[in-house]
Amino acid sequence: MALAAAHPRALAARGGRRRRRGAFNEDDVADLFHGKRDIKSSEVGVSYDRVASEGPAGSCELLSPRGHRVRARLHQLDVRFAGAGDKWADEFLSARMTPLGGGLLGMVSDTRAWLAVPEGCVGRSSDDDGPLVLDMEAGWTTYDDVVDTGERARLARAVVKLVNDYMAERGCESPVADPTARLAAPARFTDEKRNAICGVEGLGLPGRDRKSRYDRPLVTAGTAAPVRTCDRDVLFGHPRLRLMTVEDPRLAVLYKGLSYDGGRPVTAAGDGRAQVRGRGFLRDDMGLFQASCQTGDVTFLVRAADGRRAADIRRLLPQYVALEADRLGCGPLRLSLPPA
Amino acid sequence: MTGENSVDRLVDRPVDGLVDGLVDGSVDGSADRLVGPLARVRRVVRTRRGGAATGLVVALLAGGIGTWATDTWPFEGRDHYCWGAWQQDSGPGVLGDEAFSGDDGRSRTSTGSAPTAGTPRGECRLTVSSRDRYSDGDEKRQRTTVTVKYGPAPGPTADRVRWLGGYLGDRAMPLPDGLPGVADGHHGLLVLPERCDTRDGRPTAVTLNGQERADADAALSGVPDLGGSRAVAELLVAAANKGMESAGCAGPEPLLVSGPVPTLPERAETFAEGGACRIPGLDIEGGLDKETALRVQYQVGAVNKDLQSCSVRVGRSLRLGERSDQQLFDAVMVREPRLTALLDGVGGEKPSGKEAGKSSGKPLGKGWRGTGVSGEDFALVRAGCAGRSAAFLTFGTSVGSSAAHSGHFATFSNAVARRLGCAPVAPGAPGASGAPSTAGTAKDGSGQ
Repeated sequence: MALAAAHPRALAARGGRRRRRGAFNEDDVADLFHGKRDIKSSEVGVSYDRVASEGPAGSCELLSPRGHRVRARLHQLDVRFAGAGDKWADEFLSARMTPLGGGLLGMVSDTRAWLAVPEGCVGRSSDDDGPLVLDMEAGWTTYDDVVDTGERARLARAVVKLVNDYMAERGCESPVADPTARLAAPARFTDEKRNAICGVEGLGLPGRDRKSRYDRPLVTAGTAAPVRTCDRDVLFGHPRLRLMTVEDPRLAVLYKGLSYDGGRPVTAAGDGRAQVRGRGFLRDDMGLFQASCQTGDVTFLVRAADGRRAADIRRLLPQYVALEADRLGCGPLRLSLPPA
Repeated sequence: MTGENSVDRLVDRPVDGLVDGLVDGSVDGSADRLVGPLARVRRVVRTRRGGAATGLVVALLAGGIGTWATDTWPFEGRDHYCWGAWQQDSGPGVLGDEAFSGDDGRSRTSTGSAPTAGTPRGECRLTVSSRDRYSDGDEKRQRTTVTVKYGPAPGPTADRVRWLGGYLGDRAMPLPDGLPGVADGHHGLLVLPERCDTRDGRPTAVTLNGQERADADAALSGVPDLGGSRAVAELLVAAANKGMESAGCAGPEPLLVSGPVPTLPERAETFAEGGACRIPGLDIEGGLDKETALRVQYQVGAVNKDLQSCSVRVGRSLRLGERSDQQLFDAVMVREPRLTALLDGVGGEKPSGKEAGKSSGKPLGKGWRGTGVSGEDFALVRAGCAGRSAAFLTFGTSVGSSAAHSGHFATFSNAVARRLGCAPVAPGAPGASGAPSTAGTAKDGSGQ
């Protein structure tokens, strides 16, 4: 991945016979840094690990003398439990992200962007591997701020440009078009109705006043999103409580391993030897169910930052799964929880 | 002399479009993919039209390398095929050098006539052939054909259901960016805009089929490699644009494949648990003998708001000398308005009783919602579903009883209807008569 712009000729040797100028020219970099042109860059080109078990990887970084930094990384999503997947999901699937749309598997906010390299170019990864994604980090995210659509458009253009460059290097024609015109309005904090936690009609906790315990939620905006996330009380990039439905089966691998072995098993009511509609688990800080829907594997999860919300998680998980499964045409889906 | 620099400079130029006219000294678009000195030589030759002296010198240099010249070499420009819709080396694999699997006797030709305003039907066949001779005297021949057809859907009901189902099922995925059509790696269908409809209001479609002639002694029939489903989509759209131009119904802007072409997982899936094709309750193996059941393969195609398909095959047995898989069950739901328009006049528009008399099928059995026809090896149901007209179709049963088949079709249709949030279409579903499921009635807007 050639991202730098400063000295086009310096990169020419590396790109084989095709003269390479890097994915970004000086104007592109200036676009990312509000017109500043004194940006330094460093990069690690795309390479494979020794046994090619983790797919191609590469990264690069742009740094302004004022300390603003933009990082870009090409990597196969790590699907191993406790791997980079969890942190990746927290940041890159957060409710601040808007889907890139147009059939693309990718999302963008004003500080984060990711886009899977289209399968027409690299083929579809196997059931056990994550998709090959290019992601970008442009600094610290302040979750309380509304997403800046100008910054978001800049990142969206940049991530598309990098993916197009990678595809061109691989000999794939037909680049991805500029997605900025179709991006939905960013998510906004909303007041919850009593019986519609996270905007999910019918989802509620009995009796108590939730407002005292949880901040207002932020819910993924836009249609046809690969995930529907509801975050609240985000601290250092990690939500204190997250309800998430991973609708796109290509992301199901992120939680596939975990679904087998995460805690005390949860099953779909009525499942047995003849039919298994999915699997999941419940523990004090997290409940998860991965269901086999007609569209493919869909993951539902309720997660807290610590174990102090165990009772809420236990109440929320079956309701959330039933309601979301109905919304996706995957119902009826009732869960059997392990004994309390 | 011209040397490396000129090659590199030429290669840097952008790839020509699929149907661009010949530009003087046009650049060989697929040059990036070729490697080695031979490719460079050829590129220089091809890219320097009129540079005969240079070409001759290079040709002499390359003479020792062997029979590298194709029939198109070198002094004419790039070849065009199929009504001029396709241009050599314009992107899709079958139009590039990679189309040839053998080294000798390479040829790529096309025959057929374009549609005209008077006769808006056309056909074209592209034939790619080559051969390889081995040292033991054995010879391997390649013959890949791509057939394009332009015209309305075939008339008789059964034919039309099988025709459309054949394109929509199996591994087909919808074309990107709302183009009303589908493609997989070797065939595809695109419905043209309404301005190209026939005088009696039937939509015109362009279809593409790739075939590989199997070697006489090969155990398996070959699958043609046209360059992937993106290549098929591009070939289809290029043929459609040229066809519309010839037939006099081209729009201001040509159709375009933009955005990623969706891809399915590489292999057919097996479902050790749950229903076949991820359809709850669809149990196909249960009705088969044990030996056949072990060979059953499922292919889930597209599953979205506009299209869903499930194809079940009995895998070929080499031991029994079978050269291809046996079709067992195919079912498709399609809701894309232009695609369903291809079925208009077939058991959908008018009461099915009248319509069925004219076509080759009978009205559907009792308890189905909407209208439809069924025949010996096909069925078609059209019903309103979540605010739009949906078509459910099934076709082809070479194995298994017809009772089991219609049961599978009912299970498929009701499961898909439920996924889309509309009332059941087939009899026998819980709540099918009188008490539709709660999820169904709420969202079923059209209520036919």
